[in-house]
Amino acid sequence: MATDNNIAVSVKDLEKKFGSFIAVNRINFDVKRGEIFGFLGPNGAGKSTTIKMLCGILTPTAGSGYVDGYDINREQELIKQNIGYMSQKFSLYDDLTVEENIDFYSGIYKVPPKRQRERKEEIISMIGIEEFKSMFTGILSGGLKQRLALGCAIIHEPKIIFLDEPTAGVDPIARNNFWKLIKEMANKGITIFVTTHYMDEAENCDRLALIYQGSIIAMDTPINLKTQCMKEKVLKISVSNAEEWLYKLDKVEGIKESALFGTAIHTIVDDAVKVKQSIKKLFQETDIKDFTIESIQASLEDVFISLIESHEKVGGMCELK
Amino acid sequence: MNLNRIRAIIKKEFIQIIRDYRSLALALINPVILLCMFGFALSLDVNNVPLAIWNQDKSQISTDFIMNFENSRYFNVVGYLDSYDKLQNYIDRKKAVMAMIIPKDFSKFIQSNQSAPVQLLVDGSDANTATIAMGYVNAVVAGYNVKLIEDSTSKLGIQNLSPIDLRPRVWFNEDFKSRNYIIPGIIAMIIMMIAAQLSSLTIAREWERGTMEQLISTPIRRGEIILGKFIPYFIIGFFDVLIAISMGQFVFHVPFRGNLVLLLIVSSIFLTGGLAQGIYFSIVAKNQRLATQMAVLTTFLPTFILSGFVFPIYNMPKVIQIITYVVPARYFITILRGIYLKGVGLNILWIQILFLLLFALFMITLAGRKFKKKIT
Repeated sequence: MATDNNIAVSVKDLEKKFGSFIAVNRINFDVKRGEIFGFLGPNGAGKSTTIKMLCGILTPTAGSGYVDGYDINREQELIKQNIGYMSQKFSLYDDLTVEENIDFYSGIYKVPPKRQRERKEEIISMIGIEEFKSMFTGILSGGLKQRLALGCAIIHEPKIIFLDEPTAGVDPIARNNFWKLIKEMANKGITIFVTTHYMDEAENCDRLALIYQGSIIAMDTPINLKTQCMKEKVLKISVSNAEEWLYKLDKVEGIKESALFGTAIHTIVDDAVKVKQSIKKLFQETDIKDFTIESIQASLEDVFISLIESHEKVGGMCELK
Repeated sequence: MNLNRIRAIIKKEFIQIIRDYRSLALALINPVILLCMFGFALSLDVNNVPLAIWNQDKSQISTDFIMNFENSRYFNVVGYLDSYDKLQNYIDRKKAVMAMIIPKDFSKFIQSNQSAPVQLLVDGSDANTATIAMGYVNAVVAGYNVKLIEDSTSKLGIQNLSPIDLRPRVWFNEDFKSRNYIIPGIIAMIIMMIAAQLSSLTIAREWERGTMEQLISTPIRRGEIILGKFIPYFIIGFFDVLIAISMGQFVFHVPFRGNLVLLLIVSSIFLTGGLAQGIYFSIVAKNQRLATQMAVLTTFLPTFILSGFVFPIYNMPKVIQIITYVVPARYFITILRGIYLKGVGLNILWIQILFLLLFALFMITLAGRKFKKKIT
């Protein structure tokens, strides 16, 4: 697999244990070149641990992996020359200015001195940080910090970029801007490996792996995950006093799971027609007339919740062809 | 090793050091404060011992005897008292360290060629001062005894009463000034403080702030990080050495008889070892507070106590003496005093210099081995 030129990242039975705790449980996946590959999962699922092993700063306890053709067990320093990594925690120097941080990483990545100035201008304009370039990094907003961190991680023009929760704690507009940057880079053929726990963000990825308690429980394009990975149906129920009804609906036979989405209730059911009838009946009995019930496409969150449930019951992975 | 990378690290460290101006000021003011404290306040010389006297005799002879104390620079007669209670009060209140009682028959005894008893009460709570002060009293009394004997025997025509005529000549520190050997020793203290304590923060700070995680994900080599962090602190440490040497010269007028270039070279070797030790703790602890504490415990205290800086090694129990052999400052202080006071050079000091070199190499290797570009 290491020799396949279309594969940027390839992982086989990768495992990381901390003592007896299994952080990453023998996972397998490939990332194609030029792809935005998302790692979606809750906090503590093993996303960061995986990304750190791929970047050569954490040693796996078992399994193998290749990044850009280099072995993650033996050739970490070669990997580091060819990737960009942005860690989950902001990790540039707060007491340096924006430019000084860029200059520092320019030196570390051995950008040729003649090219340094030009490259710095490119980065600054790409991440849109011109007016802040002589400010101390410590006083920048979260969104600007993230963009600067990205800029420093790609100063040496790597072909593969690893982003660990790049938008955690950043406001929605800044997140949106950040994703525009990521898509621009992907359009230039750069492979992006990104972890997130935001479902809406995950929709931006070409392919997604859902990771839960160290295991990948599903892996596919977002659209396939939403349409095929879930056996159950989703009903969207709009009614006033939705919060109250959330609990009352739990007693209706056939409803497996209910959650509030905005002002509506999403319920996961096996038999949509039957449950629809039961709920209608319940509403009519209590004299509620102003309501709608419709079958909708599952959101990623619905898929995730449903997959976690079935994973906890039977284990295994949602395989799709 | 890549020069661009090392330069990038050095530049970054310098920017950070200068922006953290309070720490920088501390690093540069520290040697001045240390020198002033040790140079002015720490004197091991025992001069002006406060002495209280109860002269019950009040004769020509007893007054003559007391004049020997009055005229000595080692004593300061603080009072002539007339009761034991008053003497005790003086000693209790630390107004006097010693009290001397001359009995009322003092002159009679002497005139009748009998030994005259003189009582000396000594505050022994500071054993060192008490011992030295008693030595002074013995010397004064012995001198006076000889004078009295010579007075009486010369009448009988006997001349040579002192068969042995000791003619001491003191070398290196002719005036017995403790300052002259303390000031060179302070250079060792200063280097250890600056070196180990400042450098103990540098790598731990990056782990603490999370910036190390980014740095280790780059292709930078371990040696480049360590060297890039070493050089700025070396320059600051070297500055401190220059401050200390100049102050020794122009403020304390410590005699400097050796080779300045040799002193600077050896100081650099010692500084290198200290910096490497600090960096090693920084790597091990990954936590600034812990790293500093480790540095203080293992450098400052041994340098102060076990190096022979103030406390002579030959006075220590055998076990402790053996431990002093692994305290690098022990060798450095020998070198400092050798260069400063004795004016000796490489031909005498090479073995100590070799030990310092070995220590520096050992610490550098240890730090280099311990530093991993990995998260644990």
